[in-house]
Amino acid sequence: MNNEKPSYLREILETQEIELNMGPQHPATHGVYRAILTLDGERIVGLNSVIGYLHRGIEKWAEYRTYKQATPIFDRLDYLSAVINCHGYVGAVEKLLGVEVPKKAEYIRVICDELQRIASHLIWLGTHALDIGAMSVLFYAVREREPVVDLLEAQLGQRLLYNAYPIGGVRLDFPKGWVEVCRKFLKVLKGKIDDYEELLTGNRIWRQRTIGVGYISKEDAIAWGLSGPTLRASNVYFDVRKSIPYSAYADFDFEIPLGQNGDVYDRYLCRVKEMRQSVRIIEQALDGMPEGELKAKVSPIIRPPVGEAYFTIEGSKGQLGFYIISDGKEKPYRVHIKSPSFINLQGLDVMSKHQLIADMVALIGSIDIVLGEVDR
Amino acid sequence: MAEEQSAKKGWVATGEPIITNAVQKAIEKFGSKITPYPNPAKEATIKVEKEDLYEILDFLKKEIGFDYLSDIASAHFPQNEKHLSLAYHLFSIEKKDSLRVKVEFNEEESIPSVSSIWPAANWMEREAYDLMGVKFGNHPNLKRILLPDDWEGYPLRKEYPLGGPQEEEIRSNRYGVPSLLPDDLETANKILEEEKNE
Amino acid sequence: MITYLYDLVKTPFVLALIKIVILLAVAFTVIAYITLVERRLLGFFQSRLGPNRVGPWGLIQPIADGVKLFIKEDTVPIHSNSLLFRIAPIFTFFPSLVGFGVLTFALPWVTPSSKMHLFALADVDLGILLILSLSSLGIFGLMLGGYASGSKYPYFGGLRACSQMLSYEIPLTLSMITVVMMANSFRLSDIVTAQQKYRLYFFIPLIISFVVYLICMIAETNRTPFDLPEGESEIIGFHTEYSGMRFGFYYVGEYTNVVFLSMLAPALFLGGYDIPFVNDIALWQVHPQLISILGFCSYAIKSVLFAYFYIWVRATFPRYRYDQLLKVGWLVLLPISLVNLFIVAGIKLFLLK
Repeated sequence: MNNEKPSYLREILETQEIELNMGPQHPATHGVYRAILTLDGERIVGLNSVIGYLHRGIEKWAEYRTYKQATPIFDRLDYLSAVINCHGYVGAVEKLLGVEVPKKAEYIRVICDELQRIASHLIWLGTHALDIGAMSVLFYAVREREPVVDLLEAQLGQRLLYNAYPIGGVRLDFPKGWVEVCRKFLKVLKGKIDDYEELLTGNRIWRQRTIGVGYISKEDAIAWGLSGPTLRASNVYFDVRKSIPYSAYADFDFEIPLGQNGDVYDRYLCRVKEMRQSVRIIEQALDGMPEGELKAKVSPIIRPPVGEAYFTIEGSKGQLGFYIISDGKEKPYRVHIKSPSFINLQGLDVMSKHQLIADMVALIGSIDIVLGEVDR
Repeated sequence: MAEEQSAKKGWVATGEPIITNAVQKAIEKFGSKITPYPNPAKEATIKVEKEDLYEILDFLKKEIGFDYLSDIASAHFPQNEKHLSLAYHLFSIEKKDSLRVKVEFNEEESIPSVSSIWPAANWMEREAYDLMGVKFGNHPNLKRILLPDDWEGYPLRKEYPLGGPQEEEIRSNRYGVPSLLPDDLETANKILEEEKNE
Repeated sequence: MITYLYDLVKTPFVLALIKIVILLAVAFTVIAYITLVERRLLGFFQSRLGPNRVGPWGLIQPIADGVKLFIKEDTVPIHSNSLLFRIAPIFTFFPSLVGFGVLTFALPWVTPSSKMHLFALADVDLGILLILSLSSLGIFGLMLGGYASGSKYPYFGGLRACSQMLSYEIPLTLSMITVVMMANSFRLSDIVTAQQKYRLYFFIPLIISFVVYLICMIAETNRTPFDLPEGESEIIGFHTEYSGMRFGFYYVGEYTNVVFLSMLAPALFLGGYDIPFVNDIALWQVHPQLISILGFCSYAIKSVLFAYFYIWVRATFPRYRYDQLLKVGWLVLLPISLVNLFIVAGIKLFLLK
């Protein structure tokens, strides 16, 4: 993938590099992210990312609230997949407390997580296709996302930022008729994902835009700490659901799609296949739902033992980790969030070497960053 | 009991230290430089000194195979003897093994940067520098990352107020809304001085 | 006095003026409403409704857009080349309007007093040549607009627009030349007459030219999938610094180009004002006015088909990257159209006498 300028041109022509600012307000950067590109003609030779426009001090704020009071703020990290953030934080506190969540609650959590993952991937698909130019896919993806958000609203009470789980389990069981609606929706969704694949996967223009763009090798991807589909597209088998199993994922039978070349096309394929696998997981969970309690017994004022815990889950963007240090009091002493988008964005430096500006847009879309998570 | 302990000795974790294969191998190589650290959540943790940090992390990556750096987390313990601490969370993709390496130090000391071992540490260390003021040596680009470049202070430290530079204004303003001043600079300054003199 | 006025009206000069007025009125209406049609059609493709609030079915929307653009502030950036900045949008808008004058919309209109009026404003001998040179003029608008804006993003957009339009002019020209070869004349009404004579619309024997023309026509107007110069989510484009009615000229100019090229296509390939499966010329001797009107309707329907094709393609395909776009133009379309030219020339020489 050597796209450097040929040597004879370097000797004859004296060129100058220019700096182009893909400013904080740009329709394709998915939020307030500023990239200062150093260009040689149309090729990118340097990238300087400026982030922090959305820094809200979530980690500091969490130290001033009790464990239960702090739960809602972690939805605002990756605001497009809020259920998964909540699961991460709640899981970390439960790990520190040593609380065992009942099986039924774990299954409900898995179903809500996977539904949220589908919703997040649909938004990714829509905006990624819109950036590359296929504008209709955005509308179809958002249309598909409506039933998912409706299902989650029926169960959790909110459409975007749910404050989904209490510490110890879930609050409520599924409402009456929810399971049938969910099954019907999953059947429809499988057909729609086939439609999107037909529109995009074999499309010659799409393939030309995405194959070979933003290549990152297997060793580089692991060394730079990437995670999620960005890593799996480079043929690295690392999914937190299989490698560090948490919740009830060990009971389900699902595959982890891997890509062969680490380019934008493979990341696209990985995410689309992940959507199908999520459908599979939800169906298995609905079929095998056990009976039992919804919530473990946790004292009203939570005082974990003095110590620390690090709990990672597979978020829709990558490996999301919560590191909680407790000093025995009712407020966490320190909460640190390992955010996948922050670290994947670091890899943009490597991926965008010698690419064209037009590829930059495809690249940022394929890494799937959410600025709330990057900046915390 | 736990509160008394933490009041006297500072923050000390409870629980039992877990010794995995990786920890065993590291102890065999480095001996007393590595101390297993207790953890109530049953995670393998070791504590090292700042001087041996680079060597031990290098060994962990190359010999034992922790090729994935998951996170670098900083923490501030003003009640402890050594005020700052860093926790490196390592993971091995093939063996599915995880390990936490902790190091404790004071504010003036500088930690060797591990971005030559794992390039992923680049932004993680910048964030630790930005928010906690941990100084790293040999870092390719140690600048503030989330806060503006000319920010003063390190927000995640315990003595830094939650409201930042506007702490008093936020806490004193009863309705939570900053009062609007007129656009004209002279009248605005006059109003501010009057309020200060009141 | 009245006879004097009546004679005056019948002079060619005044007749031409009347034709210009009618042509401009119809053209502006069509261009204004094709913006509405595009937005509604795109909405239907994307499973939503387009604008339907402003009037019944959104029919007053173009007028509302026009009013909005007129009353906006007309900014001229400080670091721009002021004169070029101001005149650049004219080059996008006016060449196609001039091109409308060359098209023939129907068989000649016969007045009750047996006078024939041509259904074209100026059916010149070298109609195709005029159209090609006008489309080359159209490149200036984008290039000047991009350069004169004085900022980097529009500069990039202008450069790209210029090289894209240049490189797609050549296959366009070559495919039009094959039509000219088959019809033996550059005049547009002769091309339609030739198709009527052969009883075969040109898109059947010249299928390759037709496909090349379709692709180049989309590239010439900077529409998706070739709209990187004005790519809304990438480089934003050459019209970043424009606001108000100057931007309106670019906006309307793009749709004028769309309407013009989709009116040119039936004339070249689909038989123009010919009504399919009907012997036009024989019937025209008998009922001239009826056939003229029906011919006009058939021309309109064929143009609508092409406009629909434009909008359909916009809703479906992603955008080409800049270097791939040029590769398609130079490495794929140019050889195909050259080979096609030779094949058609060979067929014309040796098979058709």
